[in-house]
Amino acid sequence: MTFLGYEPDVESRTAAMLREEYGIFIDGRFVSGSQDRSVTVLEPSTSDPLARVSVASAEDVERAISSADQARRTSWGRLAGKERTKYLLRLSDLLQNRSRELSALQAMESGRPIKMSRGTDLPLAVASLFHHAGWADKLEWAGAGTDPRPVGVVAQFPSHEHPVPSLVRAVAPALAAGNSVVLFPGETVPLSALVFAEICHESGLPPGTVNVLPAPPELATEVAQHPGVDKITFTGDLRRCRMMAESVAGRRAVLDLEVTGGGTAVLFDDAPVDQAIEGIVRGVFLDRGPTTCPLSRLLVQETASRETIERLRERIGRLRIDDPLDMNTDVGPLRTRSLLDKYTELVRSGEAEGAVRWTASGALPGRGYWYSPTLFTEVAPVHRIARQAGSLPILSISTFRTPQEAVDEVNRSSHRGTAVIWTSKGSKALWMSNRIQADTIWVNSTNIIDPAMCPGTSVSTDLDVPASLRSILDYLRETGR
Amino acid sequence: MTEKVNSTGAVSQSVSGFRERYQLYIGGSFRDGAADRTFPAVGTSNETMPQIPSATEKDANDAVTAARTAYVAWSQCSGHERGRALYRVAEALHGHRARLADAISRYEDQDYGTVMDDIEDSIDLWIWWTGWADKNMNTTGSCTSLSSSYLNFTTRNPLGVIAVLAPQESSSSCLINTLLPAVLPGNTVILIPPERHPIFSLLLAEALMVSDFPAGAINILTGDPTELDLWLAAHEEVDGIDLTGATQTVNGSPLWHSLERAASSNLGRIMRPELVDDGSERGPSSAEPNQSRSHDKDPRRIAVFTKQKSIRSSCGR
Repeated sequence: MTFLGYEPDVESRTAAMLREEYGIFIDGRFVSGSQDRSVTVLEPSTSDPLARVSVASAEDVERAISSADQARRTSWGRLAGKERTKYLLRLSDLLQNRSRELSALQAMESGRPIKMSRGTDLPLAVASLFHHAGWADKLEWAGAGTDPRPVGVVAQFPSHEHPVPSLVRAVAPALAAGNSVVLFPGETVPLSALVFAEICHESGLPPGTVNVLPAPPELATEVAQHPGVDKITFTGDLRRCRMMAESVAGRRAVLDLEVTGGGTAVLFDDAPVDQAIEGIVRGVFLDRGPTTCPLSRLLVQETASRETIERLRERIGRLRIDDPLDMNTDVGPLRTRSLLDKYTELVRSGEAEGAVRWTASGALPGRGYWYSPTLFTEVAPVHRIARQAGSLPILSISTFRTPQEAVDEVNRSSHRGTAVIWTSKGSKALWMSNRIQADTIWVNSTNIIDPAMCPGTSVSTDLDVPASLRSILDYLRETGR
Repeated sequence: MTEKVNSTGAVSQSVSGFRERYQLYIGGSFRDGAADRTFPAVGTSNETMPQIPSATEKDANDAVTAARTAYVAWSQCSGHERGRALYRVAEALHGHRARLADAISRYEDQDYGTVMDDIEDSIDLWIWWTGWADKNMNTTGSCTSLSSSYLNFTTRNPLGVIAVLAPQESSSSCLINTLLPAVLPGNTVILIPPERHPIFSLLLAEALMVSDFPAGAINILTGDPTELDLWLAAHEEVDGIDLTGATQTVNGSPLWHSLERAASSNLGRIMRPELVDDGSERGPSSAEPNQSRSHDKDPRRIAVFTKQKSIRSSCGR
């Protein structure tokens, strides 16, 4: 413990109620999968095995889709809206009851510090179910005509970054609209999804309404081409999104894509410095979950760059890198070995290409996929760290002189998911917001998420819908026009 | 019939609207296809059919560049300004209506009076869409307060360059119902006219030109759809494609299937052709597209080629 440091405050590992083996959830039952194949889920903070999980085969996918179809035709899809509302409220309550367990489990399997898991992720997931419960009995007012119908069977591939809120924010609107769901959790983070399956089971949802299938990534394209699937939601990097788009082309299914990538922050010399430093550090290192495009670049106005960089280094140096189960931990490990390899390689390329590296000092705990928070200065737009950091926590800093220069730089980046503007001048913030091409722009804040807010980045193969209603309308089909 | 090429490259003609040869409309001016190939139009009348230019990859590329260049100014225009510009086109169409009716009636072998009625309806329809240019934001934007002291407001913004494959119907209303909702929110467009009924689009180009519609905001290309459309669908600078008109069958499968596959490389927004509702409770199957969507004026189409931008601001002091 350092001077004025904190004692560790570690959540008990038993809180996660970890089991040795997990089955897959099809047709309301846990089964071991037709081919009896399983994978070992590793704990990112130690790289030790956490649990064995059955892996779905194509045959299991077939069964899950037909079970979901059955639920659509005979049970869930036929329920009155107010009954669906009750189920969703019950799901919300059950999730609340098990949130201690799930936040510990999510921290263990994803490496996301429990401060975030418990403090923001679980409350958001619970709130999201509550929010959509309120939609289920008033769909005729959502704006899809007077007699809106569910789309049908929805296959969902949520983000792996913070598994619980991601999957709930995918499943909740789909269920509220009366769809049945085949959920494919990330292959490295299936445990919390399977506990969510238990919650669905416990709530008495009709069998087949929600199916949860840990599956190898190759299976995604097969799912896309399955004639029984009416809609697919998919979150992934550009390459995988393109693959999905190609597999769905000409099929019946409608595809909604969320492309993951890196976001950019723009900091003006009149910005509220304390909040800006906190916000940027939070966006890059502390809380990468809530958006599919977490921050990885900072454009700072030249006149403010020296002070900003100094303060960023000072703040990043104080980040506590430790066991994700410790309430005082700021930064956990990366999720997988391959992410760590990519990270290491990218940091090397940053140095090789001539950017100036600064890395927080201090020992890293254990044998897991740990990294030391790193920032690069004097980054040129062509450097790979500026273009490819994407979902990796690397901060690359460049400078600009005029607002127009900053706008051009943000718009030049190939990925236009999120941007953050720091300035205390309102008109400048709006001027920037008007010109920056991004799906979500935060002004003097980062990662503010609310259940009533629609998700950002999306590429769809169907009619797009008004923003405020996005998530629910995405799962409704208008009839009678 | 006499023809002469004027200084801007537009072919002008005397008396009737019917011509022997048409040109591509790219970046606000008329020109022959880069390969200088033409093909005889397929029409329903017995009259000698005019020559239609066959656009090549080079022309498609030039059209995308022109649209990209025009996008900067067109998307920055206020809705009111875009509405004004589109209204001037309607005026020009009105001025040309006799020539339009003459050309179309001879080409489609239809009664002049019926065609004239259609054209007048089309002009009304054009004006109806024009009015949406400054109202789109009012009906689709939103403002929500969020937990704690944050404010979220969401606006809808144009996507960029859109390829519009107009419906294969003869009706100019169907074409207007796909073209206008793409262009009025601030996108710039490459329009592919219906294969068998290109005359309205080719004459529309003249109305665009004489009404001083921003050069490059609407470009019009004719040619072999199996080549032209594929180039456009896969083009890195194309941000969206309206496949409403891609209903032809090519090598045994609908054209839009291969176009959607091509578009997966740029991940642009896709609007599929509307599919026949076969009455099953699951909604339409992907097998047989029809065109019914484009017969109705449906302002929800405007949303297809716009995307939302959410601005989330802290409300501190």
